[in-house]
Amino acid sequence: MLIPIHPQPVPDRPDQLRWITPGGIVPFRGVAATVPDPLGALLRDGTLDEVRVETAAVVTTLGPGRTWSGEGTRVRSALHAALADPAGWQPADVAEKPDDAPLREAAEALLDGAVGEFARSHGGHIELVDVHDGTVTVRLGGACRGCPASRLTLRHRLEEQLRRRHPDLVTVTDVTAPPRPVDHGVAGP
Amino acid sequence: MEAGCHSEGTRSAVGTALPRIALIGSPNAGKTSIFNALTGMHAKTGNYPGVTVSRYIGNTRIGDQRYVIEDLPGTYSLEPISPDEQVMVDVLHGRLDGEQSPDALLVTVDATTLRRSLRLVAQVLRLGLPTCVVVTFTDELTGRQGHLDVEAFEQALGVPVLRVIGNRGQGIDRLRDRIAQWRTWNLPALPPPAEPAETDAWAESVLTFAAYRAPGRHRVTQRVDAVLLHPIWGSVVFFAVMMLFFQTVFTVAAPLQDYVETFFGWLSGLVAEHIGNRWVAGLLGEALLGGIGAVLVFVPQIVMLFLLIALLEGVGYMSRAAFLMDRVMARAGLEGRAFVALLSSFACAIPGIMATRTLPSAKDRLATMMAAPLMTCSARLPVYVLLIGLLVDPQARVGPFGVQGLVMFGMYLLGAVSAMVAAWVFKKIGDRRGALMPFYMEMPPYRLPSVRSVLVAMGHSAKSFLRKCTTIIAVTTVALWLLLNLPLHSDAELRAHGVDPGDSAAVATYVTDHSYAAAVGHFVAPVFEPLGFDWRINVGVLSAQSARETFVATLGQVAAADDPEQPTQALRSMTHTDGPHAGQALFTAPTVAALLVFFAFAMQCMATIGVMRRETGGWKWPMIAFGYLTGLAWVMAYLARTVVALLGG
Repeated sequence: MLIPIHPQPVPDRPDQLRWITPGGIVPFRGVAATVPDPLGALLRDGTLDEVRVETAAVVTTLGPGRTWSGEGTRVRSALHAALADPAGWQPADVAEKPDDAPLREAAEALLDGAVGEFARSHGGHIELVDVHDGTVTVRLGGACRGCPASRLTLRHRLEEQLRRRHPDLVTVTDVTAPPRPVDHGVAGP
Repeated sequence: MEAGCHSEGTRSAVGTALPRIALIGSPNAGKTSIFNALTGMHAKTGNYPGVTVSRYIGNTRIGDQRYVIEDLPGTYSLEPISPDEQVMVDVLHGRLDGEQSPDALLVTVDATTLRRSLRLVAQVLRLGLPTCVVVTFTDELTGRQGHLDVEAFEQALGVPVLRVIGNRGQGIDRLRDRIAQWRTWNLPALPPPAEPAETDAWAESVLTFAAYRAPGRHRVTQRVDAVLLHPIWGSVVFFAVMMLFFQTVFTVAAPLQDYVETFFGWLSGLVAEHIGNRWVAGLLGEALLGGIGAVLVFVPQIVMLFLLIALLEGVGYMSRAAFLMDRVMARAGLEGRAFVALLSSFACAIPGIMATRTLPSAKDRLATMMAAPLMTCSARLPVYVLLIGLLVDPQARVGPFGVQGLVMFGMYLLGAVSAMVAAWVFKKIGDRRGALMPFYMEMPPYRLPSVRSVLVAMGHSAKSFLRKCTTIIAVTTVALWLLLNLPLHSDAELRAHGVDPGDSAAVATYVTDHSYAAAVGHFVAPVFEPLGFDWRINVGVLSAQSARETFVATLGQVAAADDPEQPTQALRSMTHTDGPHAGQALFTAPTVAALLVFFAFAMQCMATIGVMRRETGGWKWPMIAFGYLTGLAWVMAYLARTVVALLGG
């Protein structure tokens, strides 16, 4: 059985594909310096420009003049082979900090999409304040403020869906709530 | 944009510049509900050019733009196995002569069997056409503790995904809005892989991303199936269901039939009263009202039959019946697909013969085709109802069941059993090796069928019955009326034979008895005399060669000439007019039994012969079928007559 992967487009980067993988297959995050062949061969011959590892995804960037319709099938098969050999992957920079950009993208997508729409349909809105070190900070507005159900919305709609896409999500916090993480209890003071 | 490159569009059978949207999906994925919801009741059926796979096309208007919606045959895969699937794949690739590939595709997937459906989705997405995925049965998924995040599913697939519950019409409006934007649908960044292991990995990853949790087993389905698929109880239930089926056809439809009959009686009364010209009155009163009216009386039965079939199919019982029968069939060396084909012949032999295209083995195909005309098609229904009405008192009962319904059930059983025997014999003749191909059949969970799809099925059947009545049956009936009323006799000639030209009943009898039709009836009399048929029945049987219902029309005409307001009574009291039995009742029990059995076996359907010729590519097999079925019909009818005569003393 091959490791399950599927590609998703990266907004505004037609030269990139984000391959969603199970979390933690490759033991580091960041740009890969060496990857097992035949994926390595694709990097060397210029088919690929860069291979970057995220917690639950691998982002591949095409070399100049290449297209996914031309190279996608080869890249996919090579990636399958490389993921079967996680020991063959070496990071370029061991100390790289977690990259918050993908998490931010995903949070924005959800707030522009279903979760935001849900809040708007109830007369409220959710604004993204900050994404830092795996923590997503939002501000609840409109009817959401002070609404007891808004916590459920945050936990079940935003946080759960976000965590599924990004296992390295630490927490979702609401700046309008008391300064602590969204708690798991039912009755707050 | 792309509209300019449709250079061959004018040759298309659909023949329009309208955007053409095709529906693809597995069987039972709710595709047809969505098609019906989009197109209303206005679907056209036809054939793909050059082949006989039926195609369903409808129109829908969204805003100011009209769209052509095409319902492709249900399939699990785009890798063709049978000729049917080949056609669909050719349509999708635009390889069929004179056909463009569709402009955009809607793939319906059943949320409760999403994992399997994703293989089809992968194949469809690789076609590179604008595609929207329609997820159905999400209500059932949730009800059975499953889960799917539709938004995430859309993100993972990279194409638009919509949730529609077709049988309740939920989500159809959003689907229509989405169709209007087909030119802007996203295509996947990279189409899904073709290599099977990679496809599985892709599907797995997409499902995980969409937080898919497969539904628990359908509890009701599981419990009910424990009984219905049991070798003994299942068979008992099957026969009970079939008995009830025919009881319903009789008890529910009979009162409605009386209304229609009364209506036509009233009409012919009007004609007799107000139209002076003998020829016009005869044509209207006898040929049209008496003949075609006699067939139209059976509209309630036909509609009832198709209502029950649509219900059994919609609920999911038909595939269980096929599964049960598959065991029996396998003994006979025939595979389940053959039974499915025979099951379609229940409505009409033509779809049954076409369904043999799903049989991979050519020999099985032929054997099944030879057997299909024996299954009791809906055209036999009017003949059976009429004859059983003459044979059995409607009040007669055995326990809770009316005897009429039981006899009808017996006729259907006779058809089914002889069809299987015939298939077995032809299979033995054609193929002695008899290795069975594996056969997969899906048992859909029990579902409430949507009112709409049941209505559509009923409407279709009523419409095609009416079309048959107004075309082939009408033409034959009018031709027969002429044959029954020609040649003309002068008053002098009538007087010379002792008939008073003023006594219209005596004249009618004389004219009919000396008509061209009578000459034909008398000519073939030696053949049918042993079966107890007189020349009038002979004419009916011969006319039924165009379509079985014409038999009813012919007897209706003859009876209407005698007594326009009480045609059934007239039939009952009909006697032999000449020959050794002159004066004796014509429709005695042995004769009616012989007629019933004759109709059960005889191949009296030109349309079936035509389809058989087209499917086998020559006249050999249709002629064999015609010959063996007609011979068999005579022998079996003679047997039936003898047995009934012995029993009746």
